[in-house]
Amino acid sequence: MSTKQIFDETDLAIFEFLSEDARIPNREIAHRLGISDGTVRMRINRMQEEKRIRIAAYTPEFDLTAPALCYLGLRVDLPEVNNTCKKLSELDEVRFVASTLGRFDIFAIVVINSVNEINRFVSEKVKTVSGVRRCTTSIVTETFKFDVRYGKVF
Amino acid sequence: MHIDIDDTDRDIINVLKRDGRMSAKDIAKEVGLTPVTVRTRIKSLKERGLLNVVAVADFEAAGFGLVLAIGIEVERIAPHAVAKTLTKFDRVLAVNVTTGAVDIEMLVVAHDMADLAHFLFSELGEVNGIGKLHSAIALEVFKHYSDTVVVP
Repeated sequence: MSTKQIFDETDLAIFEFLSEDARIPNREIAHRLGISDGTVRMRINRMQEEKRIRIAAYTPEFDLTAPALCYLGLRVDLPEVNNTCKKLSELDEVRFVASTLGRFDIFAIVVINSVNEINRFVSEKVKTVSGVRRCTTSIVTETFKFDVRYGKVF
Repeated sequence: MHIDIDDTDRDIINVLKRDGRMSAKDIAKEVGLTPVTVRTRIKSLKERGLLNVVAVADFEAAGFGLVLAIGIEVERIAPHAVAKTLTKFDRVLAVNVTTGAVDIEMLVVAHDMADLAHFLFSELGEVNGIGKLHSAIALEVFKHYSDTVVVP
């Protein structure tokens, strides 16, 4: 696993502006922090290159009729966990995948076209991946918080 | 899901998904509009809650060594009441009420084990209605696509 440098004070201050609105001009950040435009530009570029931040343009699911958010918890033959995670990562419906220690071997978050499709998705696309033994599903009925400031940046 | 956006909006959104910091002038050149129109369109999309261009910090760069998916079995009171209380904690990134084996799923980050222990015992410990926790500690995150938001 690669190690990423932790933000220093200036990185963090710049990130805080960008996490409010990433369209903010460099000169405004520079002015508010009392540093030069060039420093702001360089810092942002470097943080992006080093995969320490990414700029995301969030939109609703325009192309899905009644998008449903579901959580999957998998039990998998242990030697197959990494392979299964990679296979699941290739599916468009899968938005988050991690190998985990605890109640599941793999935890995944998926977005499907409608709630009705969850069983078919699991039986056709998840259970067919080699190594998968059990898959429990859980459907989100209400979202109370979705903080997008942190994530894994690839 | 019916949302009122046209092809011009889509063109602008596609450019921003590729490079969220591109100037209105450069976007205008690419999609064949004036910079003023691009700015007006982006503003309107944002005001209608259809577009949000923001920075995401990597867990590790932000100093969060631990990421957990914690399921909660709620007892005595309604899951919604518990979910609402959980939103106030900075360590809790996502809170969802769900069907299935647990009532609430949350995504939690922590700097290290000591930080996690503090969160569990001092913060979560004060919340009414928490029956049982079911944890999964992320060992490695393989995918984290987060460019769309689902609002149930």
